[in-house]
Amino acid sequence: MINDPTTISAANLFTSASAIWLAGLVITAVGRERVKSKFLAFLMLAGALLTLGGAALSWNQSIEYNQLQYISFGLVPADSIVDSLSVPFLGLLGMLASAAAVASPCHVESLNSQGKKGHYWKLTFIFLIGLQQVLLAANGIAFLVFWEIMSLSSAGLVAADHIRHRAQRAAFAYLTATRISTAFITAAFLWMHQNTGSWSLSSWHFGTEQSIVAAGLLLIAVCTKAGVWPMHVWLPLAYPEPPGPTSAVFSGLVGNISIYLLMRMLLAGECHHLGIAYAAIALGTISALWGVLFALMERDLKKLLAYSTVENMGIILTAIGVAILAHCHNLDTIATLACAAALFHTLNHGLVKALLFLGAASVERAVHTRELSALGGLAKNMPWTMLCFFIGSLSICAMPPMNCFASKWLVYQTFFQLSFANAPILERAMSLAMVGILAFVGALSLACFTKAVGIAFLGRPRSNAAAKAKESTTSGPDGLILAQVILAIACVMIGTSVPIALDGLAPALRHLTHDQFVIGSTLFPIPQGQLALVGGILVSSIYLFVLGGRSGDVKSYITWDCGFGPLSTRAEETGSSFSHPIGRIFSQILQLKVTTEISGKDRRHFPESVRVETFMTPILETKLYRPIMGLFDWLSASLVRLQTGSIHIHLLYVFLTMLLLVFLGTNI
Amino acid sequence: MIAINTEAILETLAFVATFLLLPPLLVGIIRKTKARFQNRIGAPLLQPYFDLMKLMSKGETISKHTSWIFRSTAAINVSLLIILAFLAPWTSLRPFNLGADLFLVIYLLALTRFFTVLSALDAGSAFGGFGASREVTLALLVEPAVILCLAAIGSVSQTSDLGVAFSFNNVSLINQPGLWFIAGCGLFLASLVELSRMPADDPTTHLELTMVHEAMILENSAANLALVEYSHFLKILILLGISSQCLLHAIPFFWHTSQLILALASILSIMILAASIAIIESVAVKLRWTKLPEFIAYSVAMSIFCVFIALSKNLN
Repeated sequence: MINDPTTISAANLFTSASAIWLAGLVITAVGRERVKSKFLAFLMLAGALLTLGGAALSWNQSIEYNQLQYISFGLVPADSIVDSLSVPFLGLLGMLASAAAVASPCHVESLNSQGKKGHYWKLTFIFLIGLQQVLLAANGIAFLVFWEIMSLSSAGLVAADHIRHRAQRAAFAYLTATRISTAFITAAFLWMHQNTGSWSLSSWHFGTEQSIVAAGLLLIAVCTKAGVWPMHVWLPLAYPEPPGPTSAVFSGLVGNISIYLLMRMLLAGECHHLGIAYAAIALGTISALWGVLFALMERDLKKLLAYSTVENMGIILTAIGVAILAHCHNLDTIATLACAAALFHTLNHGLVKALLFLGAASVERAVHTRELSALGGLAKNMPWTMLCFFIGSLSICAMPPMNCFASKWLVYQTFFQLSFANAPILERAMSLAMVGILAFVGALSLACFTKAVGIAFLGRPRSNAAAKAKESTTSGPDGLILAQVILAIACVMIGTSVPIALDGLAPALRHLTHDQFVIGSTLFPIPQGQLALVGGILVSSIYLFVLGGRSGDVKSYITWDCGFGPLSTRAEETGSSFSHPIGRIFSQILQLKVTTEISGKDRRHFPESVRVETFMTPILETKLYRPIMGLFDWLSASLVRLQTGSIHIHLLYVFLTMLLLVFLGTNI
Repeated sequence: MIAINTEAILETLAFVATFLLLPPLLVGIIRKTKARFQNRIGAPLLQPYFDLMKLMSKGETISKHTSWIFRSTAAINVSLLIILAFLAPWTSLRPFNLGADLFLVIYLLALTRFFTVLSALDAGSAFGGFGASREVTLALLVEPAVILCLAAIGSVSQTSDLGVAFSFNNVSLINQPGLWFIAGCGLFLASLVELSRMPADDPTTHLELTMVHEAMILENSAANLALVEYSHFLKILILLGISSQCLLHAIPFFWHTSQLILALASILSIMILAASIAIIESVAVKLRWTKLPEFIAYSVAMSIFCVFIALSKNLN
């Protein structure tokens, strides 16, 4: 296999991408202040493009190589494999890393301390190497090592602004989540190794009875790392924290990599277990509802985006659950649809979420806040950011003709077709219910993103900083804007040429479904591109002939004020008031309380002062996690008594442990 | 290759004329019926056409705080609804079947809402914000009902293409008057809310306490307002058309009749539904905002009945 010229060149491309990023790391570590940020960004971009190139070369053939074999992890060398499933994710990595590289110089130049600059570059390079090698890992040990490198470096990125209490808390929560997920993955890998005697990921099959435990452990691990309910609490804390450009890679890939793991293990590894399928569908559904509901109530732009990730991870997980379910009932068309839905939505969501996080980073850079109540009217001063964020919002609400509509349509279609397939009546009932729930989630996400765009970019500015916002540091659009434009164009391109994109994913789908006859382009029959074209022609002709002819008559005036004179910006709708009616409906889940205090003597109708306060208590954090954390506090406080500090007692412990080990060694 | 014959051309012309000219007439019918109920003579039946014409010739005023969203929303929404008129099965006379996918139809409607809500927020007035916030809340409650009614019908006919399900020759749907009737009623109730009609919203007042749709379009004027109004009329036509088609499918007579009678019946039934909106608005009152979820629950309940029927129908 290694003799094939394309094979060698693709493998070389991936290795040299890693090598370039490693070189970047070394240069930042050695060179310190002398290295120009433009040069480092160039290295980052070169690595990203090489990854993209490698993915393109190997998109429909599987390549095994061991160029890193001199790095041995004791049990096995660091074998690499590029198969059709890792290619789409490598492509996504290349895409997002390029965008991040383009956005990096202007971010780094705005940092004031040399330490922060070095911190940014070093961790970003390590993070990228970790991500790439996780996707390339052929065996469990290599996977775990690079998974750890990726997790720890991203935790470092979350702690980039570590002087702030907020970032400390986020990094701590994120670290906890990654520890839990790594522990479960390790347990699952050990279990599978015990079952099969092999470390190779591709040799693990989850069809047997014994492997169900491993499948369950993996599901827990992935739910923790991807941020699925109820393990999502770290996500709204951690996602907003990484510095601007890397937040694109972080938000677009950290969750997706764990979904990748789940697909590789449970779908490609042929897990046929109804319990796992039901668990995935149930967790996914709750996660979708919970995520979008909290996203809607959020007042912080980046946290809103983070909660929307919880929603989308939930939707992807339901699709994976249905794929397993369909495999159990031998419903091949539905399994194919579900796999396509999960894979395509994962990639689309990664792309769109990266775009939105870059937009939020741009807003934060210009206004120095993410609070929606201090934004508003940015469309005038930040037209590019507004346009890109708008495109991203259209896409994440699954509006035609965007890319996410295609993948959301596949999810809908999966459930819809299950409703009249040859499956038990309860599952068919569940699938129609899911269609309704997805519509509900869709309407909620529409509310959520009209709020994000409408409150942040439209209307009148709610603060001085928002009124004086400047889009870029230079006179023209700078790197951060350019990165957004690249990703927005990618979203539109995929959206208008879905059949081509699905054809590109066909090898991966064949790998996931074990069906050699999957044709990508026929999965999505709606001619989105043509519809967009017709729509574009209609809009422009109406604009030209009905509205445009009269632009001379158009008078510009203030917003209607009922004749009271100029409106104060306080009279405008805020983020919280926009979502309040929905919050009222779900006040039980959100624990939303509103208190109104009207003061003044007997003055209900002419009050002297009115004070309204809204409170939201996060129910999961207070009701579930606080007791658990209390238990841990109590346990550690109790265990500290063992640690007396006396050398004799500690020697006794050593002796007792040895006794125990000898006992275990002789008796088992 | 398109076979050109006179019949096809006539059908197409009739179709285009219907969806371009009928919408304002529907509103005329609603207003006239309401006026008669209140013992008034009321404005002429064709008044909405005159209103649109007058608006087109007026000078426009827009707020200086608005962006391109506000300026282009009306044009975008009219285009989207024209596309929808070609796709959605709102009448039995559709000269071409372009593949009316159920989810595409729902999401195109959602796209018009996306733009309407953003354009309402664009001027930064309290009215627009109020209206937008209420609109998304109502949409949230109604959406599951609409999609479940249609998905139940689709599930019985085993296709998500509404053009096939609503074609009067689908064998699996022929003896399902219950399903069609309940779906039709559920969709009609949902349409009342989606179209900002009476129990949900009062389209005749400009009082901020009650209004949803009117609040959102407060800043629009002249040609822009005409386009907004026209797109709203088109939406009335399409949504009432879909529910009336459901009701027509419930009557066995229409399964065995000629195309011409069917086409006339489709248009007539839309008019009857418009008149019944007027009757509802004359005898019922606008519900308090907090009571609306209970009203929408009727529609959701009907959609759940549809789901049960669909599930039992496919019971092997």
